Amino acid sequence: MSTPPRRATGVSTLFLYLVLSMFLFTLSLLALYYGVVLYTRGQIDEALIWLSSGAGGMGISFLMTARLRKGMAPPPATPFQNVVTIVECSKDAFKSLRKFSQGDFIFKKAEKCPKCGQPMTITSVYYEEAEKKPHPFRWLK
Amino acid sequence: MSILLRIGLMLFSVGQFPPGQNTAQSVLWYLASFIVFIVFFMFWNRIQIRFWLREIEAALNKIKFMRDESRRISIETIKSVGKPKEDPAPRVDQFLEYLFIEPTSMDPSGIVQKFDHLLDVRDLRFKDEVRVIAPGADEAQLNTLENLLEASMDLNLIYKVVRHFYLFGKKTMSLYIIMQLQMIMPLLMQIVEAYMGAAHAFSKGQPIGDGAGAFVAAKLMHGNSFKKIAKDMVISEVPIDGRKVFVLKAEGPGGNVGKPGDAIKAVIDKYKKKVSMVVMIDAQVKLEGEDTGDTAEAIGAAIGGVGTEKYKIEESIFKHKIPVNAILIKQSIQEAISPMKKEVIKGVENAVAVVRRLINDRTKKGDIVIVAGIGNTVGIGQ
Repeated sequence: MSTPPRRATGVSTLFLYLVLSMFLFTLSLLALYYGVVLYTRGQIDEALIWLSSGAGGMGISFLMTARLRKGMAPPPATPFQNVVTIVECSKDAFKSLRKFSQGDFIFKKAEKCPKCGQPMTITSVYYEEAEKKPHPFRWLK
Repeated sequence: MSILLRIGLMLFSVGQFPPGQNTAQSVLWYLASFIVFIVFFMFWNRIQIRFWLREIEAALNKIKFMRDESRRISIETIKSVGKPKEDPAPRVDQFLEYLFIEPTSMDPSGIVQKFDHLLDVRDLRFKDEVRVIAPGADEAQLNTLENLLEASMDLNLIYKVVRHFYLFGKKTMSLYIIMQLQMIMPLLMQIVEAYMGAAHAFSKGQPIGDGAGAFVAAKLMHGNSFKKIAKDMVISEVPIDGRKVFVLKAEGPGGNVGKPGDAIKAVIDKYKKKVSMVVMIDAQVKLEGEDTGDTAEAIGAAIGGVGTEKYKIEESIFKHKIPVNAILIKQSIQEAISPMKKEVIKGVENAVAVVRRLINDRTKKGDIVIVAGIGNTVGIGQ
């Protein structure tokens, strides 16, 4: 197989990202401190400017770190675990749901019906998703 | 102590903070702000490029992980199903590098037939190759293994193309190449995750969302006798409300899309104008905001792919002026090539009812109707 992408040489982007984030964090901390000092001196207008700049800078710094963490997140674990098979008996309408097993396919003759002893048929194979969060833009529907 | 350290101490010493206590401090603060502004003004593009490259690199590593994972799944499935005598890994690696060279479109006349021929050759070549890699697999398993290897092949191709543009962008430090790659990355990641889902489904022989059309046809023909009509296609004559309905689908339960164009053409060539309607059922990529499993009715040949099968169907129906109706089962691109979801099953049940209604409403007793279930029939028998 071919080779993976080469790591960056020199100053890595990761390092640059961290340095910038830390630098912004320090500046924001100083701005917040300055804002508090000005507030105690009674210079409310100037204090508000410094406080809001500090809070904004802090927010951007946290966002940068969060973005970095997102990029470093591990790949998703094995998906589609919850695949189920529906087996039905055509004689007495007995229906059962079980976990999918290798070799199952729709309209395959399956195990015997526990009620009448006739072979049942697989009528459906589907993936059932875990409980989902409500759609953020559901009001658009 | 260096001059920089002195300036730093002067600027940030807590005892002297906040600035503005004396003129020297104020000047230094303004100077520092000015330098920061100039640095950002001059180098912001390069900093931004580095951020984007970092994002692309992270995504590329995820694609590589998924490419390697699908390769591993392919090899393991071949070992368990195909019972090869030697290690299949080298041949799988060779398979993953296959490319399809499209015919020239400089002279478009006859390009459909050229495409069709090349696709047939490709299919035969792939099947022969899989037969050698997995000698113990039966025909249905061979088809599914071929699909599995094709999913791995596509993942490999995406990885290599993204890596190419990443390395090329890094080499040239071209803002435009890197920016475009970073912008399409979320879409690419969705496609990659979908292919990963396909690899999982094919390795276990589970039905995928794209098989919704084939499932509708299977539901209609289940319990009736069927025979082969074209390459990898089966047909069943089903009486529905006094009409003679020919139901077509790809032959399952192996991974197969068959040649519905050839099958529909064969029926129309036999019954000509006696065919009063063609109904096609296929999966359709939904728009954001639409629900998975919703069905929609349409006019026209509902079939994807390169377009060769669509061409054949349109040629046949146009020749005899046969009306063609379609039922579309909506799902996202990821859902279409991942294991079939419960919502799609509901769409399938709804589509069966729509087919019956269409036959009742739009044809008379004694008419001949063709119902074609389009899509990959992996995990769906008949």
